Amino acid sequence: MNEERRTFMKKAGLGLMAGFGAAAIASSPLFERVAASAWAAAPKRPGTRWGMVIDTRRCREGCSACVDACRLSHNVPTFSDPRRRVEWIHREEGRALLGSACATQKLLPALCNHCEEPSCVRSCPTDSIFRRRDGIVAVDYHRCIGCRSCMLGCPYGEVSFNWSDPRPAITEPTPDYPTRQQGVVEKCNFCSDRLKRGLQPSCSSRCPEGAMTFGDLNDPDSAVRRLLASSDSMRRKPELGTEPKVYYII
Amino acid sequence: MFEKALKGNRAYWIWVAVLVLLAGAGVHGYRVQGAEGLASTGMGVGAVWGIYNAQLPFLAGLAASALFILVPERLMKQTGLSAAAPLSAFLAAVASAMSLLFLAAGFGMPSRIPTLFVNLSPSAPVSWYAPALLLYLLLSLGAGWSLLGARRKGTTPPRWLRALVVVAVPVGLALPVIAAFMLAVMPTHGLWTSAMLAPRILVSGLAAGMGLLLVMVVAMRRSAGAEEGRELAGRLSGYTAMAGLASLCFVGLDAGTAFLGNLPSETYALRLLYSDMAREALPVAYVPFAGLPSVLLASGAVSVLLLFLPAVRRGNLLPALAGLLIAVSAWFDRGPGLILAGQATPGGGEVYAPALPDMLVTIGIWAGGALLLTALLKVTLSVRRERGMA
Repeated sequence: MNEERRTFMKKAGLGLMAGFGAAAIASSPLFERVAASAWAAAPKRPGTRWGMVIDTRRCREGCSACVDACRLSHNVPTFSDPRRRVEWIHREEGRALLGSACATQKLLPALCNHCEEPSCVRSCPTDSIFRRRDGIVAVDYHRCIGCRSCMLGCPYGEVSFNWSDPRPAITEPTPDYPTRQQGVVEKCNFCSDRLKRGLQPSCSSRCPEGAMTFGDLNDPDSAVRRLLASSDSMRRKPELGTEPKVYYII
Repeated sequence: MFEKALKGNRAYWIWVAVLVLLAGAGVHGYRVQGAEGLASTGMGVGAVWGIYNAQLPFLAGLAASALFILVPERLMKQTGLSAAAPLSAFLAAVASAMSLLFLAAGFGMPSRIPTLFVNLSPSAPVSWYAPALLLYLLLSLGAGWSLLGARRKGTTPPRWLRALVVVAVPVGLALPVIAAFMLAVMPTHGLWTSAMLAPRILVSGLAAGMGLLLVMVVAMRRSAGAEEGRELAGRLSGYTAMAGLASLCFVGLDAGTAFLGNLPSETYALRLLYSDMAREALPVAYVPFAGLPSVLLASGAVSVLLLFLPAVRRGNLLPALAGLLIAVSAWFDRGPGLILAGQATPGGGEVYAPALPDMLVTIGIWAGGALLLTALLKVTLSVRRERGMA
């Protein structure tokens, strides 16, 4: 084989490899258009998967109906010291909640995302915080030892701890849901107690604008899935791979 | 054998009384915390873990350091380390016992501690911590006690001790790994998600453990006039220096990665520790201590350098002092510096500082650990003296 032929073969081979490489890159999922709903594209587990879509365009400035409804229906204590606060749902500025891609200055509702891959569950030493079969991440108040690993594990800061006795701090107690005690964690339970009675979560059912839609993310005909298909949505810190099940339409 | 801890001179009893008093203050602090809840401590939203959990990684490394004496001494026939073997086993036992106490002190529901053993959750690293600590406590205490018993009777240590040390190796090495992994499941804290965490805990614990052993050996040589050779102290100085150097390299590697990659969470935590930023973030009462992390890091680095100088190593007090400073520096680096600064977030407001109850409990547990170590050292010393006279 002469030298010229050799270099030609070499260069042709390199060119061929470069071509295949470009084709491979162009067809890789990196360059695909991202589906409107990350959930619909790849459902993680079969069965009911409760989720929520919050249409922030309908969210009214200065309204706190969802927060108030939650506090009332679950005996959530009200502490004045922000370092001792206990909350299942609260309002936070859009940019702080969803990152710089979200331009809104409005206060948006923020609650437990009931992640499909919850890091709070991975950090609990006693299985007191666990994922139910329907995807709801729940707390067993009678097993929790109060080590607060889940609070540090949650990237969204949605787990609260009863730093002192919560009972005196409940403004309007209700007999519908048990109170908790000093030294355990608590958080949003997607109103699993109301779901059992065939009711919608109290926050979404009390929203005067109908901005919060609750439903089964695995059911293609559900209201949440129809809403996700109709507009682009955002989730909190999706890059962490926790697969939050609370979506925001901006 | 334990009755030997109950005989001592005036200075011994004064020291014991001081420690008992401090431990009592800790019990008082814990009662306040039990009555008023963790709201009485400096912890809260934004500083979920305080000074209790901040002791855990360091103590895990300290406990594991005993393996680096016990394994060569028992399994590799390094008889030059024999005098240090019971001391290191006791140090590991005290570190494990203190870890268990600090773990328990931070629980909001201490009455449910049995849950920790009954409802193990294997996928959660924290779940392995208490059982591993308890097992390692028993193993290290058993090793130290049987070494001492053999020495008292003038016999060779029993053969099963070798098997015990073999079992202790995976358990002891697991401690820094669990301590690191229980932080790794908390994904948003940059300082905690480094793969360097477990090696850093192990190596800084090794430096601290060897440094403290050096202090103990020098102290015993002075107070007992025992035959503890200069050779042992020299060897321990060398180990301390090498482990300290490795630990400093790891500090640099983690910091280099953070600043070269401009990783926001890590650089924020490191700036909070080693720049003027802490002055604004700390509560007013703690502002004078804002420079403490830098001072401790520098003193540790200087001590490591000193231990590399032959002239220093030949001395008596200076190597012990260097060993102590390296231990304190390692404690801050893998203790409060890691846990407390690791939790701070930009715009998170005031950073954590202990309130009176958690301060008292922490001092109390350290005093309790010192008390246990004092008693064990006293027994070791008495056994040694007896043999010396015989």
